[in-house]
Amino acid sequence: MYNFTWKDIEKTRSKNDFLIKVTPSETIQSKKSLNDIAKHISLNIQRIRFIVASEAKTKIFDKALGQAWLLVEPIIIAWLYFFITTIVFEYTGEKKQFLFILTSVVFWRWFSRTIDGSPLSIVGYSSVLKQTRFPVLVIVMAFMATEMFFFAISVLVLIVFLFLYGYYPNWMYIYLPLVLATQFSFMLFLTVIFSIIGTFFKDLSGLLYALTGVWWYLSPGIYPVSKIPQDWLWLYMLNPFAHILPAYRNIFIDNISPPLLPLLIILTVFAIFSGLAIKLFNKARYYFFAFL
Amino acid sequence: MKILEKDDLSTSEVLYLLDKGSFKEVLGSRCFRDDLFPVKLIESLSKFDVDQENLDAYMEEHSLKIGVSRLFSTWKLTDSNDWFNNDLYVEGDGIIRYGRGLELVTLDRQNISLRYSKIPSQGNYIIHLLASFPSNVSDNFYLSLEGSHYDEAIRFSNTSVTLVNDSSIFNSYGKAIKLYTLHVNSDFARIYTNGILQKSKKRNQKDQEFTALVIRLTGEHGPDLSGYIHGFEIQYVNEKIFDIFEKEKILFGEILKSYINQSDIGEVYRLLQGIDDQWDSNMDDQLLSLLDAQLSKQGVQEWVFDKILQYVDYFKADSWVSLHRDRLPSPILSTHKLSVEFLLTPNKRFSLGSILKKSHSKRFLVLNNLNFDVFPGDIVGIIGSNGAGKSTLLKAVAGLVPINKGEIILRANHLLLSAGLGARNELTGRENIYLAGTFMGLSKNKIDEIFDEIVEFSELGAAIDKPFKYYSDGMKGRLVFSLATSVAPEILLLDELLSAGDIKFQKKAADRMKQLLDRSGAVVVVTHSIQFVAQNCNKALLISGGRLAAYGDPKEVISQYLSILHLGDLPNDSDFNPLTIAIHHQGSPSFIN
Repeated sequence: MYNFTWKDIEKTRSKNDFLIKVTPSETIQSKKSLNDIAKHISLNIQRIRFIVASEAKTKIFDKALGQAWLLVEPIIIAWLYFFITTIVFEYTGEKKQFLFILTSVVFWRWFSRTIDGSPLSIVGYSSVLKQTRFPVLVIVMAFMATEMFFFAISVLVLIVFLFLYGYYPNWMYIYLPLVLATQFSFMLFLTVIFSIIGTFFKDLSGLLYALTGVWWYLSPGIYPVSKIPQDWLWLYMLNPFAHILPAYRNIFIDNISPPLLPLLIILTVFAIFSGLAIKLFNKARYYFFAFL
Repeated sequence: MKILEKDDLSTSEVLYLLDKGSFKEVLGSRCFRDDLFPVKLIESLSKFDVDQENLDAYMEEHSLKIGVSRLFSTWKLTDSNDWFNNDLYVEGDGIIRYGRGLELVTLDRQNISLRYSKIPSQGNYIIHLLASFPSNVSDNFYLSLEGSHYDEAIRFSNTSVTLVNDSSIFNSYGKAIKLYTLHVNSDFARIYTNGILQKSKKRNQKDQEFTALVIRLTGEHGPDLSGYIHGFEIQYVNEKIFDIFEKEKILFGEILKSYINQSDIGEVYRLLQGIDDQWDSNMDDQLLSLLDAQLSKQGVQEWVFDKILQYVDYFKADSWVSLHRDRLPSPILSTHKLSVEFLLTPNKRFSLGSILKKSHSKRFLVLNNLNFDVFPGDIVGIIGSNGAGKSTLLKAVAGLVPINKGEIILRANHLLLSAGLGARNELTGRENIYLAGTFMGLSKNKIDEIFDEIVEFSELGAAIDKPFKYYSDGMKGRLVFSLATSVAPEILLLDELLSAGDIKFQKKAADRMKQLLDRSGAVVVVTHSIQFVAQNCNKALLISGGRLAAYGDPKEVISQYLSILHLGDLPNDSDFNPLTIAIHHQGSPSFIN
């Protein structure tokens, strides 16, 4: 009797002949051509755009003010700080105290909202992730992009207020991309890390909320760095926001160039860290399933 | 099967007519091969309605010829009340209707059986049962030789007959009256219908002692079941005998030849699978050329190749394989020794309590050592009880669930379809199509392309620009169904068949589902609908307790599923009951009937 089994034929075939191979340790995709990679990236950008648009629409859905709501929140925040700084405390010395705080708040809120939301960014899409092989990193990126969209609107409000106080866009704005990139790289690292941890530890989001609250007061948001005692300055300056927040004020209010070296160091360090975090993320992605 | 000339019958036409119980038509035809078929038996059967004694005379003559003694027979008795004596009695709470023969009936979970307890413990048994199943018998009618540890039994359904200890089945038209014969000795168990050999399987347990012959109808929750016994006979001889009907092996060869001539590879496989012996029929070349033809078809039933290559001459098989090695299709999805473990309580994995106690979280094996292949064109049905691991298997294959052992290889893009993919209440139907399409991995251009078609099919019209929130459930269902079935991936993974809408839409949906199955490169579907598997799939998997309980021909796999169901092997209150499934399907109509 000829002992043929179909599986024997299979064994003689090439081992590298596959599109996706799932093993206990990882999911291996077959090597793609550059063209495929480009297509893939453009598809993912499209996906991020759809998700951002749907998040924004969800937020304004059924509200009488519609799109205007996107502006209302930053305007309310601005008025709140205007009320505190110019009416309650009646600053006499510096009329720009209001702008000082508003600038910090706008950029800080971009950070704090992103970080606070990051632990739940993946869990929120669990139904999709349980049904499709949708790239999880795209969800995290879409979450960051959504926050960035709301942030961009606040920046518009900020610029309007600067304009009202007579601060106009100027040449120093060319440093803005560097500062934004620095803050972004720092946020990218934290968001990716927290989104991984938050998927496994559901407590993280509550914890982070308290933490960013404390962090705000440990950063030069409502006071200048010069108020910090000299002895503690070295420790204080380890906080990236001790460099980032003053840099924004340098650009928008003081119209001078911010110190570049610390920013470049922070940018480089966290760009590398972010790369490592994404690597870790791709490994962890595989184990998310049970916790979603 | 069409019969061209009434009096000019081929072998397969004779088989067809006998299966339908048209004995007279067979006997009256001109070219009937009376040298092959057991003519005298067929004559007696054709007269049974007017002359029962004729069958008795046949049995008398036949038993003398093969040298067996007749322990019990009912043919002479015209009232089935007279069948019963000290040796034959009734068991169970079901109903018996007496008459010329008798009818076993069960309502709900009643059982009813006839037990003949005075059989010699070892030797050679021949049981003839003249029966018909004109109304629903489900798969619950058994003719069984019961031993202390081991039974040898035939299971009857309205459409097929199976030897319980072996899953391979053959089709049989249950409505027609037929003589079923079970022949058991220490070497083999054989089934004949109307004196034609259908199965011959070697017996694993040779030194068994039988204690009773039981004819049993097992009721199940739901429909009333019934089966007719027109009579039966028990024959016995101490020493081993082999062929009980003349020329049964030659006839077997003829039947094989006729199926080969019709290129009916499914029947060829079923015939070869039914026998364990290798009866040389000199048809190796024809069998191999059937395989040639099979290579150009969509979908691969590996077991057919395995069986035929094992059946034919070694050297012919070997040269066929080396000649066709490059043409043999390659699976687009294969799993190799796949095992998956889950944490019993993932939410407690990192809880303070379990960290302090340093306790290791409990794990359990969801899938255990699974191997199967999917080829281009395959439609694979996965069946099994709830919690058996079917959906997990599908998700593991889709790359969603981490696996613990083995590997999964995909050679084509796949898509796991499920309803309501990320749809949001706040967005309009249009926006939801784009969003859900995005989650499904489609590009914007692709969605643009299929958009109009989706809207048209879902019958939403202008409502497409209304927010999803204000849709009725029916509208939501239709939109989701239309979207989910609008793409045809190379490997389509389906967890339960999708259904939506009113009866009119369901008809439309069923057609579209069929189209989707046709367009997709290969389909793997998890379903509770045995009917769907039997009608649409070319291979099936039975998962039981995370293990691959059966893999192969859908009818065989379903038969194994039913064996597990009726013979225990599972806790009583498991969901492994097709009747609850049937009820479920009546309650929430699926679009596939």
